Amino acid sequence: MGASIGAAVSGADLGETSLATSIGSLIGMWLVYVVVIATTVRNRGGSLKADTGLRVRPIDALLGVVGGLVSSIVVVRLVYVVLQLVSIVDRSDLDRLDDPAKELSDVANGWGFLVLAVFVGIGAPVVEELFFRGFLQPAAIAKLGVPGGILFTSVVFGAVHFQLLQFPALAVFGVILGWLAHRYRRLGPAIFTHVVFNGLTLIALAAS
Amino acid sequence: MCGAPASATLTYHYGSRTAWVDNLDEEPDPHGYDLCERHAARVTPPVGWALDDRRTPIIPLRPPLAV
Repeated sequence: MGASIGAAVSGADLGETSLATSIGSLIGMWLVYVVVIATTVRNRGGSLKADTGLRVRPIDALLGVVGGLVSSIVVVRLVYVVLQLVSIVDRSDLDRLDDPAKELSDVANGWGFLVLAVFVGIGAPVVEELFFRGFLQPAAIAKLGVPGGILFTSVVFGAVHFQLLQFPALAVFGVILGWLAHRYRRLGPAIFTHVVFNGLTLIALAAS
Repeated sequence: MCGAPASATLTYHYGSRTAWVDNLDEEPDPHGYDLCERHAARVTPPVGWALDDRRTPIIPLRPPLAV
């Protein structure tokens, strides 16, 4: 739906990947998340802040820098080293690891890349953390307990990106985000960690 | 003949029906076959043989975007 809107606004073919269709797809997906959260919060008679833990403290920026750096530079890379050692991932597969990110950045140049960076570097962390760690995870923890709830949410988080090769990294990153949200009882640390994680990949893409 | 630089060495042992792909052997060895990255990834052993890739894992340069 989002891609259709993006294509209509930009005049691009729906099958053609453009900045507008890419951003339209993101907005379409986020709209679903926001509508689900808003409807549930309204039906409960609660508030977004209280029900999802959407709170940020200054210290969260520091936690996010540490969390994002460790996740991106150490944890995710370690995941693929282990997957190679157990022969689940081939060395040649790793050339395709950042293909989705490259496809996204290839359609954006100059100001377009800046717009994309705002959506990917800020929009995605806020909306995804609100939905996965603020909305889905507490419900999953209530049903499955803390480890089960965080794991379930992380698997769903990895799966909805629809990228098989990237799934292990995103699921493990989801566990880190889930732990942060549960440990600090607010979304600030997870949002900043997500911002730094995506930001590092965006910087690497811009530099290449 | 492949023109790409060699990055791995293939060896095998008939008795155990096993082939190994290792990091490039810097010492020339008549029992080993040097392969480029692309061909090393495509090595397929005969039916009934095992292939053991013992190369040092590589570390991905860029992690994916979580979006």
